[in-house]
Amino acid sequence: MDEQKALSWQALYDNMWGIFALGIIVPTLIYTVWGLIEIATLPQMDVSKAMEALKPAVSQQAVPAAEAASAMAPEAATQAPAH
Amino acid sequence: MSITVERIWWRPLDREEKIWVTIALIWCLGTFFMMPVWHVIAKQNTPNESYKVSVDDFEKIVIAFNEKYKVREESGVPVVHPPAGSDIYLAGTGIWQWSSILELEAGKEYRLHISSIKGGGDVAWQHGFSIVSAKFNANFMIVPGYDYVLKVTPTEAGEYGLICNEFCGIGHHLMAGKIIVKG
Amino acid sequence: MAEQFRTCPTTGLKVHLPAETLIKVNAVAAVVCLLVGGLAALLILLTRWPAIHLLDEEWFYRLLTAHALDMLIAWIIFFEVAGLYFGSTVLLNNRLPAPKVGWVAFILMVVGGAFINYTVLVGQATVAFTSYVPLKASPLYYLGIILFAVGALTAIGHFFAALVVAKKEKTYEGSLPIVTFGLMCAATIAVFTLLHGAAFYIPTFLWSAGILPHIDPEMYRLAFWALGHASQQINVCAMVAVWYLIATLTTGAKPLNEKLCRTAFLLYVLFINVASEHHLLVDPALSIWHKIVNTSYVMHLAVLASMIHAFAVPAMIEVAQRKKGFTKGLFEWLKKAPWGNPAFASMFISLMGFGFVGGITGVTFGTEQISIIRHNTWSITGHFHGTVVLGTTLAFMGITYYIVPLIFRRQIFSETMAKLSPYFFGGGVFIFANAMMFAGGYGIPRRHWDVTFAGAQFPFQFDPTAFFFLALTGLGGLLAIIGGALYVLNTVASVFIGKKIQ
Repeated sequence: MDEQKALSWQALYDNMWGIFALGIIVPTLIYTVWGLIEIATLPQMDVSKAMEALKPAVSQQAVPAAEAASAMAPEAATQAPAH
Repeated sequence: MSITVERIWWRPLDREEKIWVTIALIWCLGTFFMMPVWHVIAKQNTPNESYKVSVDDFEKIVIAFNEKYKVREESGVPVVHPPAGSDIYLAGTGIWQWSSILELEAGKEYRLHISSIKGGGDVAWQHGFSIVSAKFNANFMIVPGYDYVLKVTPTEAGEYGLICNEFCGIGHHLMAGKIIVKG
Repeated sequence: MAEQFRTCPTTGLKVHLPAETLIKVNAVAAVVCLLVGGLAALLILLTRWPAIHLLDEEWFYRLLTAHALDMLIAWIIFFEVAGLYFGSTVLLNNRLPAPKVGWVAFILMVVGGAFINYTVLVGQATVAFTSYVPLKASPLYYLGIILFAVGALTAIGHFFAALVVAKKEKTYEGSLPIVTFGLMCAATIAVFTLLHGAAFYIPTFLWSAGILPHIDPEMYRLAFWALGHASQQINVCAMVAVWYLIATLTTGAKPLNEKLCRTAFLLYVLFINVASEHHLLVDPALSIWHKIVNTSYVMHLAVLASMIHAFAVPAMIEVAQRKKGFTKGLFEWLKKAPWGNPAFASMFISLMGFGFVGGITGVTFGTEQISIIRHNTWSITGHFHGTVVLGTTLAFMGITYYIVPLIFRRQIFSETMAKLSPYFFGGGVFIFANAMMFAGGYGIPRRHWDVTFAGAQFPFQFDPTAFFFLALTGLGGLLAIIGGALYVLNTVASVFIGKKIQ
């Protein structure tokens, strides 16, 4: 490889400020800025839709007494370690 | 001791250096390539669905969810049995507890939303959602203000421990619950 | 100006006396922090060893916070600042342009460190190294970190100024020597780190003081790890620079191809910081692509850099050894390497340990799917003790054995302690880090006072095999602490009562 070409490449590597600038800018863009944009533009959860699905259905209210009573009855074996 | 560099140090690599760099580069690119590929071919991946939600709203949802699907209680914690395929909700609380014991069915898929709520405490902390058992470990972050949606299909019946593995204050190491999977 | 220099009798290099004083005080501060962090390490170790379970929960979490800050930040950055002064003055026959600025930086770091340790030890900052909002410490804690960071940034700026002066005053010819070049890359990484630190610690300080109403926890996480993990990347870069220095000092080795080594350092500068993503792989809000591009150090290019150094450093030692006549068979050069020289032993164990224990696990844990099974388990703690302790700390310990005679101009107090320390420390951390990683495989969490969950609402039991690894961690840790104690005692003794070298 001819000397001039070698010296020009070396000059690039000797460019402290160029290396510094790249070292700050490149990761800041790829990691920080990109990440902040993703977090900032995250959509909102549809809370009303979620709550809608969790409303007790009308038909369910008819059966309450019997179901609720059996659901509250103490279970025989609650500590069964089943691995 | 001489520490000066030669005037011209830019020169081609030797044979061994070229071989090593080639092998290393192929290895590095290969392992990188596997990252997106694994999302396509593997059965377990990090979820890509999440939303912003206020701490109070998520708590409202958790309370409604617990009320609707509660089947019993264990040590004062509601055991909740939601229908397969539904959106289910679990939160770490400000008093270092899990909001419920989920009772799920093997082979069914659920959309598990995890987040952080005050739950009787003053603050909704960050928590580590950590399922630990003999055959299955999984860890996800619980961050207040964020709803993280995990598409979960339990495969084996049993009781799975649920602990917190993100330091969240003085009650951190007492935060233990479980998830029950029925066959 | 002439009286401000002395000529080193061993190397012939010109040593700027004000710079030398700054190297000394920063090195001393570093070892003091290592001592405090090490004492905390011992107490924490004896607590996480279930059979002993020494501290109560309050003190455990306090000392855990202190241990992390005194080691990951204080010990290491003080030592690196000393290294920056060394690399920009001694190695270049150069002067520090503004020694008073160096003292301002030092005082800021000491005051900051004092605020941090005070608030943590009195229980006003039991927030762990990460201080994840909404966990809140006293404003003095955050102020301490900010002061420390400003001090470090000042010292780094001074380093760059010294490099400019050296070039202008032509104190060296051609390109910077590889060690200084590597330190310059480390300094660049450090500026990224500390600027991000300021970007979130200042608002968090204001929030803790009641001035700002809210800090978004996910933005905090993103920004924190730009400080938290990137600071460890400074350590990787500085560690590698120290490997080159020790290789030259102990065997006369020179880099075989400067282009290759410098390119590797440049890959660090461009791409190593983005792997802060390792901590965010199972977080909401960030997309798969942000995770993949960043966690991979951008197509594993910074990993390629490490693999280049892992080849280049042993290769240059081999060539130097073969030139000395150790040419029998494939490995005589290695067998007859100066293993009795504590600097060489430290460097080589650091290289092997960083690569095989810390580095590989970092790259593998830093994938989304493995993060699912390992995030926040003790495996992560094992990984970073493999990198920061077995790697960086051991390398820094190694170069100390040259700093003491060449800068402090004292003989090493005990050659025996010096010879044993790298092996005890390296061996101990090797066992300790691996045992932690195995324990984490069973789900054992990090930062956890009681993995038996005594008193928890629901009983929980880990696989009993995990407890074997907890005990093994304890044993490895004790061996490491003995090795560390040998280093600290020997270094302190050498500096104060070691025989003076004329």
